[in-house]
Amino acid sequence: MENILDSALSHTQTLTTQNAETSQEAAWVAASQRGDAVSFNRLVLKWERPIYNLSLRMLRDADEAAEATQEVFLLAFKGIRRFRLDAQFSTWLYRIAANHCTSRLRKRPPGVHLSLDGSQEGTEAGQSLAAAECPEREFFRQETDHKVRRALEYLQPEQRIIVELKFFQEMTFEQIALVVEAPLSTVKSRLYHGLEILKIRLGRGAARDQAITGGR
Amino acid sequence: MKTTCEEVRNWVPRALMGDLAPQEEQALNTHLAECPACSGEQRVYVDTLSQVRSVSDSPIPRHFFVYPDERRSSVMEFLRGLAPGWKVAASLAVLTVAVSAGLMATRVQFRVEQGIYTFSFGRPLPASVPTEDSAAEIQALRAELTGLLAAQSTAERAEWMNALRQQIKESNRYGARQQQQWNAALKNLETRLNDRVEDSAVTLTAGMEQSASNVFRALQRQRQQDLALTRTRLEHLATRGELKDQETDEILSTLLQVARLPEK
Repeated sequence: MENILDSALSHTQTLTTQNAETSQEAAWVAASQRGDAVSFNRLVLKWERPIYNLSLRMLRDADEAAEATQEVFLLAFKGIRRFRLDAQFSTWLYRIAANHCTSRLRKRPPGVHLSLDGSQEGTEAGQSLAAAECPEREFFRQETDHKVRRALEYLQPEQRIIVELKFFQEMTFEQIALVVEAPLSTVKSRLYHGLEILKIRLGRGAARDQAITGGR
Repeated sequence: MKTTCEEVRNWVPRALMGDLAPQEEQALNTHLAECPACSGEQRVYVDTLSQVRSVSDSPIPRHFFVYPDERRSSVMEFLRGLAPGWKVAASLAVLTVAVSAGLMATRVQFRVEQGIYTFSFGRPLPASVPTEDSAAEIQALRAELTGLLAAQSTAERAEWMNALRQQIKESNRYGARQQQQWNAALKNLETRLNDRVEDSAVTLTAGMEQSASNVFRALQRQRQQDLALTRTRLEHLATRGELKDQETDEILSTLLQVARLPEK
């Protein structure tokens, strides 16, 4: 009984925090629309990490991702007056980022694939600490990261953005449909096609295990 | 309903995304419990998703702050942000300014005079003729032309009338000559016809006289012949009458003799 009460209290606190964050974000957006750059930079601080990582996974180049992220925030800053307060700021911002990255990918000459080397991967203090604590786990994690990022290269830009929004930004199908401005059926179709390709590229190890175990 | 492996393999990713109806999910679980191949397919998908989800976010290389002076957008960005009606209005204004600037740059001059458009680029326009003077001149020219035309018309008419009269005279003379010729020809024809009629009458009279005498002679001859024939016939008749009379007498005498015989 006590556990249930604790859980309910925790859920209520989470909802209250989310509501407070949403209203705080709405206030920053409204202030930004009035030309307050400080409020907009608060929004930048909140969203720069997901937007940068979206750009990085889409573009596969750290410098280009940083440049694209800066351009996305600049575009958002210039267009904030056109943003309607009844919509979600994150959806609008992701739409700008998705369109910008897809546009950049389309402008690339065919056959050009940039790839990240180890030096461009994250060197966050926490990660370094983790690597120091368990070097093997960190090695496998980096290996998997590398594999997934390479597998993502095989997806079309339209599929890649949906995989990105679904798995890395953890959006629902409806939110993704709003971001990419496409019907729900199109979003699902692109996601399942993308998953099929990722399964082929990443699922070899599991398939091999399955062959060894005889599908038991 | 029996589900096929193909159906199930389409359902596996949907089930992992929570995008499957409860009935389909139940059918999927039933099938997976019985089919090792589809179960293996599911494990591959689970492993794939697990790998994808394990990717961690990278740290940002720097902050991406923006500064108020970056808000100043270009003219094109400003226009892009306008409503369609304002866009049209702005475009028209820009077009008007551009055309005016172009006209000023080319130092164009423009004049409309009596429906004639005159343009000049950089050079002064030719001097225009004052309107009142030109109207009077036009009037005078028109009067002069009308007079000339009237004079010419009168002279031409007189000349034409003389020519016509001359032609009528010639035509009359010719008619008289023709008439004289016709009269002479008619008189000649009449004379010749009279002569010929007279000749014909003489010839006809002579012919008639000749033919009358011929007829007379022929009639006489015919009369004589008829008389002779009649005489012959009469004589013949007389002869026959005498014979008949004799016969009659004989018959009568016979009859008398017969009658006289006594009837005994």
